[in-house]
Amino acid sequence: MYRSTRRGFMMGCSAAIANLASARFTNLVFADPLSIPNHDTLIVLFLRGGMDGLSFVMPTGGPDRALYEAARPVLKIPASGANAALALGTMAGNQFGLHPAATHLHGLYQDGKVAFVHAAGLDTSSRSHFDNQAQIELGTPGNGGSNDGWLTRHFLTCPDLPANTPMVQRIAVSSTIQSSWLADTNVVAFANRDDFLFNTGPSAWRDAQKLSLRNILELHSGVDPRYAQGLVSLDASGFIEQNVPTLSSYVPANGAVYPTGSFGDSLKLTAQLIKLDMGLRAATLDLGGWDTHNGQGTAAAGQFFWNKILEFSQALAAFYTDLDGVGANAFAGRTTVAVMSEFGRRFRENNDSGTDHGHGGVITVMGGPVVGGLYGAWPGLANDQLYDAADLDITTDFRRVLSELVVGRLGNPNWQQVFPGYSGYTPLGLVRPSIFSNGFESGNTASWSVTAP
Amino acid sequence: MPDANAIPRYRPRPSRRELIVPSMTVARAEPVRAPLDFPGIALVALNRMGFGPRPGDVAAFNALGANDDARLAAYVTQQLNPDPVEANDTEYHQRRNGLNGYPDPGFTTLAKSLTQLWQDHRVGGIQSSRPVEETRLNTYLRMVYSRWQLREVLADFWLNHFNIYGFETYTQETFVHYDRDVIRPNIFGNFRDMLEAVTRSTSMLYYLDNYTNTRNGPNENWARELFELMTLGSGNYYGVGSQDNVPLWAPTMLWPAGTPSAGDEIPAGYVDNDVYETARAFTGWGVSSTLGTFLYTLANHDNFQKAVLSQGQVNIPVNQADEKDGEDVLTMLAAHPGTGRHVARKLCRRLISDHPPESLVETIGDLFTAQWQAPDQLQQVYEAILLSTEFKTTWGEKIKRPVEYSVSAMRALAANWNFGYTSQNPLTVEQDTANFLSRQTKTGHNLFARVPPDGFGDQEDFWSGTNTRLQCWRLGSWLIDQDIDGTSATDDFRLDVLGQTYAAFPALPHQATSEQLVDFWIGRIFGRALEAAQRDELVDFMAQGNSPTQALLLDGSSSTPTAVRARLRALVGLMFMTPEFLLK
Repeated sequence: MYRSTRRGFMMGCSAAIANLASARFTNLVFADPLSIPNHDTLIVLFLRGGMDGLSFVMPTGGPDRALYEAARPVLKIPASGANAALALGTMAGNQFGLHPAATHLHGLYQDGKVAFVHAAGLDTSSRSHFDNQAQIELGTPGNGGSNDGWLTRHFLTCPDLPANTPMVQRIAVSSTIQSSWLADTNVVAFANRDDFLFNTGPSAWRDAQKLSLRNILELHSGVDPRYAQGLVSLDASGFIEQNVPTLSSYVPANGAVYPTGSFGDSLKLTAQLIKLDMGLRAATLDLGGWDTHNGQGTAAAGQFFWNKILEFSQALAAFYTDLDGVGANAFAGRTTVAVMSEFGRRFRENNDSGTDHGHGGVITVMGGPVVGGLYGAWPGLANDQLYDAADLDITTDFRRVLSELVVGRLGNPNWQQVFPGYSGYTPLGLVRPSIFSNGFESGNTASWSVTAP
Repeated sequence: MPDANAIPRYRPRPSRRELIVPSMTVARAEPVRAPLDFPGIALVALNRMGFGPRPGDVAAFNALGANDDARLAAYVTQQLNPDPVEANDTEYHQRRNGLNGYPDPGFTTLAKSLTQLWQDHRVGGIQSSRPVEETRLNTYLRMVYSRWQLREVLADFWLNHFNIYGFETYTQETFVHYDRDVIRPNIFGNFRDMLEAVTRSTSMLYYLDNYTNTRNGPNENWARELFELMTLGSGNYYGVGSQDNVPLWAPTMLWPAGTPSAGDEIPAGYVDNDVYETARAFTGWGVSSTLGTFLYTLANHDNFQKAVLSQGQVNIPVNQADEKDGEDVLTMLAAHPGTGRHVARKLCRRLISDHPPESLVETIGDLFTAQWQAPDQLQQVYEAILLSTEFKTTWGEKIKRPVEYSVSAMRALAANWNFGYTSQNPLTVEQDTANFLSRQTKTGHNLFARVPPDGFGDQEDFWSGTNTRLQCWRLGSWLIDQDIDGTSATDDFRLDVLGQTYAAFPALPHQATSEQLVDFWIGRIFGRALEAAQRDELVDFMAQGNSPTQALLLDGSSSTPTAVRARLRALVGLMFMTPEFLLK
């Protein structure tokens, strides 16, 4: 007797389920855009594979330059001449530069819209792609078995969210779901608007089919994530079909030009969702291909890493330009992009024009709210300054950066619940406090940060 | 003379920090679920040892014995011993070779030797992705049509365990070899043998860069993933640290005879220094650029002493015979109880549940390790898993991954599908198949398409996004929709819902009530009764306001039967969308 079994089960667990239903299960609505107050949007971009931070932001002068050149005879980015690094500023007695393919991003940096936090990352002793990605996305260093992702916990603990969750409040721009959203049944994952349509099968019966499917899913959507996720899939697809125009009809503002390819399209779709102003608060994106053990390439146009940086830089700059309107269209002023990777790469290059797995890397933060500049406590590149005598050390925990964005821009003071076990958070001063936040932000800027030249 | 630079870069380094505590054993809370009825052992076996039942499979299973245990035992024995004669796998064989009226899929690369593949597609540069493309099509043919369903489940398991992204330079041309000669001959054999075949394979040597790992320029990509993904697993990874700080395996175990440290205590896991030492052990293992075959180059090998999984004690002496250093590492990894535990956990996860009980993982892992030299080691391990109480009594603690979703839909409807090239243009994949592959990719899951070396996720978390769900629904409904390529007059729909309904209700004119139609298709697609409330919804959909017991006419060209026929197909599409269809 299946039904009576379930009824007994539900009665027996009613308190727990009621608790879960309010906390964990979907209550997505087709929100009226006008009813949603102004708020920030955080874009979390994960560079999968371990991005070589020392080819992205590197010393171009000072005591560590010679060490850098000695460790990277093939891969080193020139400090002057053809394909030279783009000047960023000074930190701990060294001058720093940006990869020469990142001209677009450099322009934004000069406008004070980009912060580079160097020697940052996940400070465990693992050099594993998969453990490190998981532990960063779960927000729990040392524990790959957490029950939920860090963004999941942000939304569970963030005050002042709308009572009903807008359909596009949390988006994974991806064909599968990232672990940052583990156990969040309100997140909508889709990679491509025009594919995210309920549009196959006999068309005459499609509406009836949706109605029956909804009835079936609602039988258990209050208790069973498999049913809840089905319901979100059904609702989100309908909502997006009705409210989000096709990507081909979308014209980026201010002449912004996204690079061709799926990554440019993903950011374009994200910009489109932000500008529709339907309540998007966080989106996750991925850019893969950074595991450059072999053929990373020199500082010359057309080389592998050059092309990766070019695409990354062009896409981020186009995204900013696209959102950089005035008045009601000043979306850039409330959008922040945080870019991270599971580790930086080995200081010393290998013999294959590549680099093996390392430790510290660069976290990039871009957007209107950003106080541009170089951040972090540069640990140095001398042998005894390296982590395990091999890699750039980590002096800034990735959770410090993300906590600042959660507290300062997303209006959630509960960083200790977003990152359980993390203590001693103080802001680096990466972002200006949000006018929408609740004033938890102390706003002090660490003394060793510098601003753009 | 050896280059002095080769040694210092990978010498053991002192640890500055505490060893990390491996994290994989941290328990994850089980989600709340709607309670599930146990569907019977036949459906458990056919859904988890295979890609779901085809019509008649449940009856055939039930005829194997007098009770559930006898049936399962007989089925397991059958599936663990596939007939090596392909012709006896009748339907697959006929479709694969275009016999008995089936269209010839037009495969041209599957019989080529490694050197032929290399010379034609790599050196010659002709249709360089054709070998992997054909392997993919042939694998779908096997998944849908082969009798040896467990073999296909396990081939998929091992091709993910030893994952290679099949669509890049060097792997696409050689993938036929990887699937045919490296993985499949070892599925029911010995893990050490499979590991060695993988290590020496052209595809893997390129994919993880060992082909360029030399004493002058070590590349640790292969060594790291060998430990982390293929053998000990990240659950036995102690991070950066000194080898002599790694604790010993508990309870105490000694390295067995035949391993380099025979008689010494086995450490519990590995640190980065083991990875670096192992990278040195595999220097010189590469590929012949003219033949595409394995090539060991002594001049590229670092022949100095090494310490691997030995508390820092040298256990690989200087100047060993060619290839012996790498062989020694493979032997230690195969004999290490951590490898047994890691592989056992993954196999139990594939065959039983996303979160298999630790007690079972230990039992199976111990068997794996005790039998590490047995030629039928893996067969013994599968048998122990498949005959375990946990296998017999678990249902619905896994969901179908998207490839399993579409293959099981095809099997439920006895698909007549041509996974091949068009006869008109042998360079072009048949249009419906090309569309199928494209739609399959949009789910996030298609064969040989995982770029990172970890393989596709085997747990529900990985597949729980809305895109995956919606793309599966779209694919299921597309499968019952009209065939657009027009190559066959009798094949108007991709899956023949109508023909099978007519066969079930043969009296002319064909007609049936909504209840009859729903119950017939529930039986076909789920093989078990559905919760009454779900069945009621399906009946309401089919009846559309009519009485559920009113006969609906299916024959004729007027608007009413035309609409009923379309609705019937939509009913099947709707069944594919239910969470119940995801269960296995």
